[in-house]
Amino acid sequence: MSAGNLRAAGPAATFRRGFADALPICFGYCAVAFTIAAAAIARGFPPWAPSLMSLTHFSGTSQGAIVGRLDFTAPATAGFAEVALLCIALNLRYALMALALSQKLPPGTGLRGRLVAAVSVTDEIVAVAVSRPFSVTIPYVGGLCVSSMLGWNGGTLLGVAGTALLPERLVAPLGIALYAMFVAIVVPAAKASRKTLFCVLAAIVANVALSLLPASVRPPSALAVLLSGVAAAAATVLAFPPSGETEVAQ
Amino acid sequence: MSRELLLPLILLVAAASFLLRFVPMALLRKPIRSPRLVAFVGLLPYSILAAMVVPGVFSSAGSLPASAAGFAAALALALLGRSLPVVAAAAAAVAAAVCLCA
Repeated sequence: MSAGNLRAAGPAATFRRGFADALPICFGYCAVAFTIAAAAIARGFPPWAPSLMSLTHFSGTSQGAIVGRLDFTAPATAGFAEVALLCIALNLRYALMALALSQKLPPGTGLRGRLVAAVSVTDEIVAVAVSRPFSVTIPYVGGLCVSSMLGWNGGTLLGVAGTALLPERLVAPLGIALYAMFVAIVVPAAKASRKTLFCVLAAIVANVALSLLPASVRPPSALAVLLSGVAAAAATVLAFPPSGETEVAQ
Repeated sequence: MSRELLLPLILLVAAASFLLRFVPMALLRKPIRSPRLVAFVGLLPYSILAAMVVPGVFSSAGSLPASAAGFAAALALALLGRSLPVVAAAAAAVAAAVCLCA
């Protein structure tokens, strides 16, 4: 649909267009949400927790972090403050994404429209919205959001239900799917940019070094992850000073 | 932390992630000017995710051989540019296969 047609179309047609444009996101989210929910159940989370997270967080990285850092089947698990801080640090990028999406909204979009747009902010939805050649309207963003959220929450329900039906020795290996998901996000970015590769390797070296410290001085694992990540990103900005041009990160 | 703290944790993170999305959308309608800040925030997801994976991944699938095999499969497929669901499913399948054979 051309920009002109979209502008001429009514809100219902524009919503349907957004819904259809986000169908690939819907299916991808369904698979990822399934693995996070399955991993959560494997780690002793109550069955309501994955669905409540999917409904209220809508963030693969922070939901993944909660499941990845907490294992209720282990004798000891990460602390409340560590996990909360880690999630907030992981979600800091949404503030930038919200800014990027905000630039694409028609001028004069009201607070209610901005509320819909804010709820829709995820890496993939913003990527689709920002890549459109036209200024995106709230019904369009709403269509993207509803389609993606159906995939995300549907996948979560399937993951919780599916895990209940699987034998335990098949559930334990599912825990790795979460880490594989992170690998699938990090590797292409590191392959595409030397700066990102440097940053990723620095974070790994820092975190492995912290994990090798004697237990008496070793920081809790979620805190070590946060420190390593922040230090590596800061070191990378110092080692590769950005050129004068301002760009919003993807 | 105990399982009783899970509900407060989920609600706290929900509130924080909503505010992080909504406040810039509602208040700041101009782009960030500092290239250093933009670069730093842009790198943060990758550095944090990378630190989460190593070394945690090696104890993620029950046993070290299963975890290492699944991680290797994930790295290989991600380098080949396979999509996220494919990488996740393949790593779990490889780890499950090693678990069942061991």
